Amino acid sequence: MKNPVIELKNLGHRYAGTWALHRLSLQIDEGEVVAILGPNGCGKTTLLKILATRLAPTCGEGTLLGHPLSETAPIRKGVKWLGHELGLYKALTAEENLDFFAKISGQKILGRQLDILLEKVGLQKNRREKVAAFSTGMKKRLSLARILMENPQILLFDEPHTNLDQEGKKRMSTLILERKKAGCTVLFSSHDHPETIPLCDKILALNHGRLVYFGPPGQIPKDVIL
Amino acid sequence: MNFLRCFFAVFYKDLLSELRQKEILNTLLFFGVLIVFLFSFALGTDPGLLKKISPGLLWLVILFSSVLALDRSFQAELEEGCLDHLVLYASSQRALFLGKTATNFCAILIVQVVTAFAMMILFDLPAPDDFPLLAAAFLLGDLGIAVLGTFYAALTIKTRARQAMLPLLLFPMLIPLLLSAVYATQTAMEGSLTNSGGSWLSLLAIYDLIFLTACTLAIEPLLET
Repeated sequence: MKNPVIELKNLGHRYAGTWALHRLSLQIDEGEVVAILGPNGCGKTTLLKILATRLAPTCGEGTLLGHPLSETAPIRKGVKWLGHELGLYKALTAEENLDFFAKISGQKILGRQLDILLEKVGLQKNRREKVAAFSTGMKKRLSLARILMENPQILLFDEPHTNLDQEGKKRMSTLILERKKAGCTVLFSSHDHPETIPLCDKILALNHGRLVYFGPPGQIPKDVIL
Repeated sequence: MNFLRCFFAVFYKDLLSELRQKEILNTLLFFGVLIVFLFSFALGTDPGLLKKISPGLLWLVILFSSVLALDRSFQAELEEGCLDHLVLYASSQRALFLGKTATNFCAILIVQVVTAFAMMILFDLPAPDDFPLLAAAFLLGDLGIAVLGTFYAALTIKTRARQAMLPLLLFPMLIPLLLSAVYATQTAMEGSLTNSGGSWLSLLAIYDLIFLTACTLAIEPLLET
């Protein structure tokens, strides 16, 4: 039996009177890859932000890695989030960015580890270049290297395939599958269904903030709008 | 240990970014010297008047120019969503705040020293009688502005009229500091005739201590929202 790493019960979030997420209850097990699908404004990003502890839920309860959502410190150690905005400093080089985030999170990152990380995302030749000169795809790959630094147990991606070329998309999909093999739980939102469906074990479909389907990709009812 | 690592990392990152981009310091220095230059024309050449008003004028120039640096210190973090990642990765939000405060303190101090030199030349002021007192007034005054200013910059970061809100909230809070700093500077310039310099410095030190403690304790919920 697998270990549940994410448990949500009646979780909701309201922005200025409108429910972005409404009474969401679900359980996700260790090592599962879950794609969050749904039209724009259905609550995908809100859900990911709540799970990343960057947004507090308005109501309901949730536990991540056995910790309630209010205990942000242990959750942030094991959960890493990559949003639409990549959060990189353009005046710093690729390795300076990684070194900075390692230092503020209390990690010691050795030169060899840095080499491995940058090699994994294909940026070893650009390590001393400033991020200002990077393309969006390169920035995204550098952000990936950052979230892999701490070997997280849960990965949260907000539209990971967006702004990537075919090579980048392939690399991203490989990385998600690699993390799954390593026992990591991956949640990602997407509009790119052909890229998404083969990767995931389950689909979480949202519409107007409500859960409309949660289960294997092969059993989605026809009336569910993705 | 993690606290210090986080503090120095934020301080070094901000300093390095500023050295490479030169966004703030150049603007601040130009602004500070330009204001002094304009006042040198506006106020005439009466040496008595210039000597009398120069401490107050210097601190007002510092107050106005520091707002530019303080506003920018968190605004830069909003670009490309850096603030979210900074908050999520930082082992201590307090270390993060103090690191940013330290960078702002350095920027304000540099501007103050350069502006004071410009004022001495353009207003033809004599060298200060009590240099250690002047240095202490600069250090303590600038620290107070940096602490409270960085805190209010974090508070107003997501407000719509951020650039107007920051001085509106900050300046009234800085009145006790401004008063103490101006009188301490005046005492240092004119010599310790009344021997009141120490009292003004004590007041500045107490002000800094209170707000350094209060702002450091209050910063966590502020950055989390």
